[in-house]
Amino acid sequence: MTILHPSNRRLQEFADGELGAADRARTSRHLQRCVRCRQTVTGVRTLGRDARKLEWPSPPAHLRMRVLNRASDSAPTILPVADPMVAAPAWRRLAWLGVAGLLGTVGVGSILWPRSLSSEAGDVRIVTRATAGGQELEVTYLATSDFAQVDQVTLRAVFRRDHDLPQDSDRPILNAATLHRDGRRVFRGAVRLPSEVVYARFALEDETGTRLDSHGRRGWEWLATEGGDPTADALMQQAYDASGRDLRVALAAATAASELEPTLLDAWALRSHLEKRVLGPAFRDSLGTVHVPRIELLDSTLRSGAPTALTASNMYYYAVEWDVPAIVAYWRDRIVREWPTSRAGVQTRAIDIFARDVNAPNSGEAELEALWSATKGGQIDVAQVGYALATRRGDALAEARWAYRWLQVDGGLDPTLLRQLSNSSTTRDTILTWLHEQVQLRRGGSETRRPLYRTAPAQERVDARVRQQLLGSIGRVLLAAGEPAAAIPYLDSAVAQGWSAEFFKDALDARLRANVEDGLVEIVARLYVDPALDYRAADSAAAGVDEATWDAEVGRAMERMVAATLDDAQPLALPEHVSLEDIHGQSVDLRSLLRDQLTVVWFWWPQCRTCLSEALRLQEIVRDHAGQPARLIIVSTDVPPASQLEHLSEIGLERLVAVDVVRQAATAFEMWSTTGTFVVDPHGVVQFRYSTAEDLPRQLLVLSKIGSLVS
Amino acid sequence: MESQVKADRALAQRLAVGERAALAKAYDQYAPMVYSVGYRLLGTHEQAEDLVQDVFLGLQRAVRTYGALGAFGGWLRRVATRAALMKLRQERAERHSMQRHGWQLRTSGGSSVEEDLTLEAAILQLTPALRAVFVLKEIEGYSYDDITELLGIEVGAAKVRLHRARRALQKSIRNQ
Repeated sequence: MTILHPSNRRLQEFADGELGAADRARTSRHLQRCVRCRQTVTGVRTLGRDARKLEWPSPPAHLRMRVLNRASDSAPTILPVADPMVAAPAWRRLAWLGVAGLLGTVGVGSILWPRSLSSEAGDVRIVTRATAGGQELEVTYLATSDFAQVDQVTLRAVFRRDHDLPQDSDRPILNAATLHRDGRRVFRGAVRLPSEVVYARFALEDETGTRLDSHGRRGWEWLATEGGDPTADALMQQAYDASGRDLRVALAAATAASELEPTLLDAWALRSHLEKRVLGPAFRDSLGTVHVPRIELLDSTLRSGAPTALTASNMYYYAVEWDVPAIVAYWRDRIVREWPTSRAGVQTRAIDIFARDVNAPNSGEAELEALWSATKGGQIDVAQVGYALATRRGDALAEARWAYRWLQVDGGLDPTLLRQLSNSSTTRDTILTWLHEQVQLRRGGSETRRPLYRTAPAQERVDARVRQQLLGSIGRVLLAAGEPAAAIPYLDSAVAQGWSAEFFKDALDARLRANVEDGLVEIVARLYVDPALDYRAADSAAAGVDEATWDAEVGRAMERMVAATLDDAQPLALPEHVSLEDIHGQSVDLRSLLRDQLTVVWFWWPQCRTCLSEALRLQEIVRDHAGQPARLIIVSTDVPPASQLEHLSEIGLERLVAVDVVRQAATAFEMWSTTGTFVVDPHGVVQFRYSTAEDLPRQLLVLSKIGSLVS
Repeated sequence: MESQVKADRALAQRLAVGERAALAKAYDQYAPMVYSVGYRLLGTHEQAEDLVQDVFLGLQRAVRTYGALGAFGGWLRRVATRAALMKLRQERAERHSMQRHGWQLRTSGGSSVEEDLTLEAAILQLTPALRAVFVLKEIEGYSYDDITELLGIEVGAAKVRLHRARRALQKSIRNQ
C-alpha cells in the first residue's frame, strides 16, 4: 500500500501548532503510523526546545559605564520604533522601504507625542511686593530634569505697558534675567520690571535656547495689582497678549476687565469680539441681550466725553458687530470727519471710494494716493482697494503698483500678485529687490521675534521655511518674466526644504522651458509620489533614466515627503470628555466618533450654503488616500437649518454630521475660525491642523503608515 | 500586576525626561536581554555591544512611543529586535555595495560549516536571513504575523526560511 506522507511544510506547521483542526487531526492520524514523519516533527520540536534552553552570553561589565557616560554627552541614537510595511502596492512598497531609517532621522516618537503629555512640569514662583512696573521681582524656578546639567537658566520675557495697543502683539522678547542654580532643581534670580509695565509673561531656557520650559506654551504671568487684585489695564494687556495664543484666556481676562470697570469700552469691545469666536454663533441672541444695552449705554457716555481715535474706533466696531444702525452711522461720520487718518477712518474712506468707483470709469486713484501717503495704520485697506479698482479698469501699471504695496504691508507672498508684478520690468526689479531684502532679514537675528514657547532651533526652522517661500517667490517672478534658467536655482532652494507641490511644478516647468536635465528626475519623482497630484503616469522613461535610478529616486522622494509631512505635525491631545449632538439631538461623545480610525474632522459653518461641496471633496480624499479604514466627520458649529439638512441627506452625508453648538469640540481642537480641517490619528490625537486639500492626501497617507508602524 | 504596570510607567516617564538613575536602572534590568537579542540576531559580541549602546542611548527618545499598555520589557525587546534587524539590513546593504566595488568579504563568525558545531555555534553560522527567522520564531517566540512585520517579508517566505534554517541546523548538529 502506498502511503502519502504530508509535505515537510505541513509537518513543520503541525510541529508549530499552526494547522487548523481538520488538517491537524488528519496529520495526527498519519503520525500515529509513520515513524519517519514522527521523527521529523520530533526533530523540529527538539530543535526549538534546545534552542530556547541555550544560555546566551551577558554584556561585558565595562559596557555599563560606557553607555551611562555617553548618555549625557553624545547625541541620542534614533531607534527604529517602527518597521517598513509589506504587501503595499508596488510603487508604495518600493518607496516605503526607506521609512524605517527615515523615522529615525525625523524623530517620529517625539513628533507624534502630544504636547500636553510631553514632559514633567516645572514651576515658577514669583516672590514680590511689586505691584507695578519699575519694581523688582524675585524669581524661583523649580526646574524640570531638562535642566539637570546646567548651572544657570535664562528668564525670557515679554513686557506690555498699559498703553500698548492690541495690534502690538508682536512685542519683542527679551532675555530679562539669569537665574542661578540654588539646589538640585532650584534656580533663583531677580528681574527689574521696566517702568510702565503692567503685564509680563515669562519662560525659562538654557543658554543656547535648545531646552525650554514654557509652562505648556502658557508661560508664567505677572500682572500689576491694586489692593491685591489685577488692575483693569493689566487684564486688558493680558487679553491682548493671549489673543493670538489662547482665546479662552483672552476672553477670561477681557471679561474680568469689563466687570472690574463696567465703563471700559475697550474691554467690552474685546469681550464681545472674543465671545463670538469662543462661544460661537449659537450664542448670538443671548449675548445680544447683554451687549446691545451696553453699546447704548457706552455710546451715550462717550458722546458727552472726549473720545480718542482708538476709543471712537472701538465704539464704531462694537456697534457694527451687533448691528446697531444709528450708533454705527453716528460714529462712522465722526471718525471720517475727526480722525480721517486713523485705521477706522482710512478703512471707511477706502471702502467708500471703492463703493463709489467700482463701476465708474474714473477711478479715485488720486484720493487713494493721498490716503496712502497720509496714513500708516490703514495702508492695507488702501492697497487692497487700489488693487481692486486698478484690476477692474484694466490699468496694468497701477495694478502692479498697488500689488507691490499690498505685498509690502501684508508681508504675504500671494502667487497671483507675484505674477502680476512680474509683468512689468519696473515692478519686477522692485519686487525682486524687496524679496532679496526679506531673505536677508530672515537670516539670523531672530531672537527678539522668537516666541517664548519656541526653542532657538525651532525658530531657525521657521525662518528657513520663510526663506524657502521667499526664494521660491523670487524663482516664480523670474519664471513669469520669461527667465526660466535664472529661476531654477531659486526654485531649487525652495524645494530643498519642506514640501510644496506648487514649487515642484514651477521647478519642473523651469527645467523644461530652459531645457535643463540636471535635477529633473528628482523633481519628477517628488511630483510622482505626492498623492494629491496627478503625476501617477510618470515613470523612468518620463524622467529619462533607467529603472533602477528611477526606483531609487522615488524612494528618496517618499522619504522626503514623509519627513516634511511629519515636520508639520502639531500633536494635540483631546480632553477625555467632549460632548456633541447628532442631528436628532442625541448626545454623542467625541472620543467615540474618533475611536480606532484615522479621522478627518471638518468644522462646518452651516450658514455657508455652498460649503457642503467642500465636504464632498474631503470625503473623496479620505476615501482615496487614507490607505486604511478612515472616516470623515462633519462638525457643525451651529444647528443646521432644515434646507441644509435636506441637502445633506440628498448627498448622503447626513449620518456624518455632529453638532457642536456650545463649541466644546471646537475649543478642544483650538479651532477659533468658522471652518477648518483637522486630521486625528486612531489614538484620538490631533496631528494636523487647518489642513488644505493639497496637504491632506499626503498627511493621510503618511499618518496611515506611521500609525501602523508605531507600536 | 497592576504595580508592575505602574512601575513600568514610572520608569518610562523617568527615562523620557532623561533621568540618569532611571537609565542605570533600565540598563541593569534589561541590558542582558538586549545583549542576547543582539548576539543571537547579529552573531558577534561586538555587534551585540553596539546594539546595547544604541538601544540605551536612544531610549530617552524612543520611550515616548511606549504606550504603557504592555510590559516595558516586552516593548523594549521588540525595539531591540527592530534595531538589530536594522543593523542586519545596513550590513547587507554595505556588503552588496562593497561587493559591487570588488571587495572580498570575510564572513563573520569563527568556525566553518565543515567543523563540528554546538547548537549555539550552528545558529550563529546560519546566514543572517535564516538566522533572523529562526531566532525570532523559535527563541523569541514571535508569531509569523510579527515576523512578517519585523522582516518585511511574506508569511510564505518566513515559513520557507524557517524550514531551511531548521534543516541546516539539524544537518550541522548531525555532523557533531
